[in-house]
Amino acid sequence: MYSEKVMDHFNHPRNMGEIENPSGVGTVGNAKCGDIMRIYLDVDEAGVIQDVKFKTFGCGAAVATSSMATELVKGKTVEGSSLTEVLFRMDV
Amino acid sequence: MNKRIYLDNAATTRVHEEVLQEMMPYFRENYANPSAIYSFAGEAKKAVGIARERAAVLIGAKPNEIYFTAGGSESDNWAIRAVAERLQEKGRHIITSRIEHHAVLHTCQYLEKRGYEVTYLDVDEEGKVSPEALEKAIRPDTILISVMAANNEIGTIEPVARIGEIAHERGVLFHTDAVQAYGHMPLHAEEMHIDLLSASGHKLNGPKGAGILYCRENVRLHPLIHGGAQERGRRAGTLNVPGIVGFGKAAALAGETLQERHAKEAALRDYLIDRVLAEIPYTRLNGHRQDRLSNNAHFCFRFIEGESLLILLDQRGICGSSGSACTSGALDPSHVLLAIGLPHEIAHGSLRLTLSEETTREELDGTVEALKEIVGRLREMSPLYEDFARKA
Repeated sequence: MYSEKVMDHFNHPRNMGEIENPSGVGTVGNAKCGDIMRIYLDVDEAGVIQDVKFKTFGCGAAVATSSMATELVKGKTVEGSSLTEVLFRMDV
Repeated sequence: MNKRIYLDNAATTRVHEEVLQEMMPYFRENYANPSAIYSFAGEAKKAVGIARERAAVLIGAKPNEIYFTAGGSESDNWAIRAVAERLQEKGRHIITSRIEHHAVLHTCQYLEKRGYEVTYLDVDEEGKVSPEALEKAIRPDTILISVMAANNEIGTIEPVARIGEIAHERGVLFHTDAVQAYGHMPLHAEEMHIDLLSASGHKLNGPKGAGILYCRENVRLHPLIHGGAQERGRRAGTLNVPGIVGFGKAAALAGETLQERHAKEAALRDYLIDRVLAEIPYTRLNGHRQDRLSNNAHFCFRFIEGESLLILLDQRGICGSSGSACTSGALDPSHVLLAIGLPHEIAHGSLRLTLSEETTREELDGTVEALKEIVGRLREMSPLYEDFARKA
């Protein structure tokens, strides 16, 4: 049903968890349609995303894309590389 | 790959060995069209007659009250549309419930677009239709009541006999979708005041593509499919002889084994339900605790989503089903779970496990162990669980 890449991220999600004292936390989605993603970010003074973690309530695709997003944003600057942009550019 | 544990018998069942054997001669040996005059057609014609009798006996009906169809959905469509069309001069009001199968609900919606009015009865939190509410909904122009015998998702058994009694007191025809109930619980068309009943072969170890519509002798039935004299002019199309033979054999076997099978499945079902509720926290059973199909267990695991659960179960060889949005191909979770009052996020975490007479206690033990691990893992990943744990 899902591609190998999606199944790999679903079975072995990267950066799943929480960050203590994060620079920021964001939650998107809604329970009505069954997808909620929460992202924790640790951003340094230069605006570089040093660490990122996620938690997701949702289907296989939701979990896998959350995992992929964390891989894509890690090491990027917050400015010029918004999470949304990254999500749109993902090739899943 | 693990050994497969098949717990989706409400979706379909494995064809019984004896059913298959009885079907086989009608593919290559006795393949004649049973409507033909020559003697070669005699065997096929006789076999269809036996099947019709077997299908009838299971619900205390007469053979001439059984019409063979291509399955439960056709039977539901036919029953509702035929009554609506025939009685439109009398009235254009139909009563059904919110938890019917889509074969009933979508047929009702089709009729709504054509000038009919439909009342969708609410159900209680266990999925039961209230006979009192039904009685109040009946109007002078009500022509049909269609309420299922047992729900396909949560397994709740409806008060069919009482509904039939009310329908007949008020002079309204009563159809029941018995696709999950036929052969799985005692049904008696006469005693339960049923005028029309739909059933499907593949839900009781018969073949796919074979179903019946029971229609009481004195109820006139318009054809849905035109083009031939088969089924006394009511349902055109060359008879699916192997399928019909298989249906008949499956019905006969189901009748013979009903009591024993029911007791065995219900004991295993209760074992599964008790273990899951005791060993996995924040879990609820959906449907009525006692008045439920003997093979149905239906849960909601809070804070997790059903499709993820199904994928992880599948990786352990376990086949189940869910009413979550992603699995139903829609944005909303199952209409049945919403109708019993579950909030969306809980409805999304649903799992239906349906047993067969082949299901073993060991298989259920394996399933419970897998569930404990999978539910735990998905909760670890869930922001809803995190919020809940933080508050607690």
